[in-house]
Amino acid sequence: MVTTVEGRVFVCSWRKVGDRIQVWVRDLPKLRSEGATFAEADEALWDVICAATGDGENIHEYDPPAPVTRLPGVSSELVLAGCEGLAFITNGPDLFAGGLCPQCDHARGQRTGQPLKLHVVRADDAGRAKVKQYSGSRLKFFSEVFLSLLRPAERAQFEFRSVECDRGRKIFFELAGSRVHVPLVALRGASLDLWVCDTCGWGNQPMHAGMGSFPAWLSDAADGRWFELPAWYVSAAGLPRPLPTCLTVGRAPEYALCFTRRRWAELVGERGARGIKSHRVPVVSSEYVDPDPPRRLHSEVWGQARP
Amino acid sequence: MHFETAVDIHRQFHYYMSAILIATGLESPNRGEEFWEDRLQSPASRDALKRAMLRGADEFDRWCAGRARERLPGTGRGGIGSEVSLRLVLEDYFRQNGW
Repeated sequence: MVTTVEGRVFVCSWRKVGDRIQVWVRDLPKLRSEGATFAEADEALWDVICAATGDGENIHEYDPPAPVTRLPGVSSELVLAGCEGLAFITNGPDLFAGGLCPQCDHARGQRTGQPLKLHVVRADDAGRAKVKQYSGSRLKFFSEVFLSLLRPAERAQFEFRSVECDRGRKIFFELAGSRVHVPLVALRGASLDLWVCDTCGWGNQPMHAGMGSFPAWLSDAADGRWFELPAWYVSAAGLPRPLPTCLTVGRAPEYALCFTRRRWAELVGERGARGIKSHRVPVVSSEYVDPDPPRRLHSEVWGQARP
Repeated sequence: MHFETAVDIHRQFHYYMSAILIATGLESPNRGEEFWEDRLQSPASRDALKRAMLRGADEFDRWCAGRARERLPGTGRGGIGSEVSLRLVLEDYFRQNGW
């Protein structure tokens, strides 16, 4: 078995047997490993998959979900559907009424009526593409089969538009709008690299990543394993009530589709959910949120470079 | 360690990269491309990643030169394991992409 593209998402399972953790690829159970801890077993499985498939960037999506450390201030968690499919947009400047910002390349204004045109590189069931090849706003697209997994009431919360692809038979839809949308938040005491564009006012989303970015109260709770902590958080105060089974997070037009943990458990591994890597998005109480984290200007941060 | 196939070299490359990324305060490369796209929205992250990758490349080049390259030219991804040093491959990539 040889793969030509790395970074495939493998749906995996795990169980505890005695004091050992066993993990395996669900559709290829011969690809399995074990360890004294989940992390050790998972790392060993990476090696097994790499040796068997040549995919050294293999990604694991666990069903049941991987065990996690309980975090302070967290009441529940959403699951962000990470879109590992990849495409390039061939008509980026036509997609938004104000075109693209000349400084940061992000979309300006409302979405126009122009269909999203894509050159698909890796056609999973969920993918992303930037308006200017490697920079600017990132739009999400989903396969027709993925959309069929959503309930009618769930689909009705979002605006999906047909996509024109230059190759392949798969039919995709752009996630172009959402009526259940909540912002990502910065945690109190975090050290984040946030910037705002001098020209258009767009700002990058709060992302907690890297050894120094997490607040002490969180990294202490993770017992030093900062690299396993979630990157994105939402505030409990910002969530709609009652909580829908799926919603979007982030900032328009960069919608990221999220599910409740229970709803995601129904979708993981289904035909139509290929190429989705879930990410934990903890829901934190408002006292743990920094409502106004510091931001620097794009020009100070990037100079002439593009994010 | 035996390295009979290009896969062995490939695996070794990922061992170096994973170990060095985490050791230098970055995350495992296997958290998915969407994660890394967001991660690189920060120039500090990009610089840190660039430095870590070049350090990993040097380690890998040393390992290759000493152990694998003569026996196994290989056609690994991006020239990995071939006559070309990984540092040169990465430097070329960074130059082309404005890093």
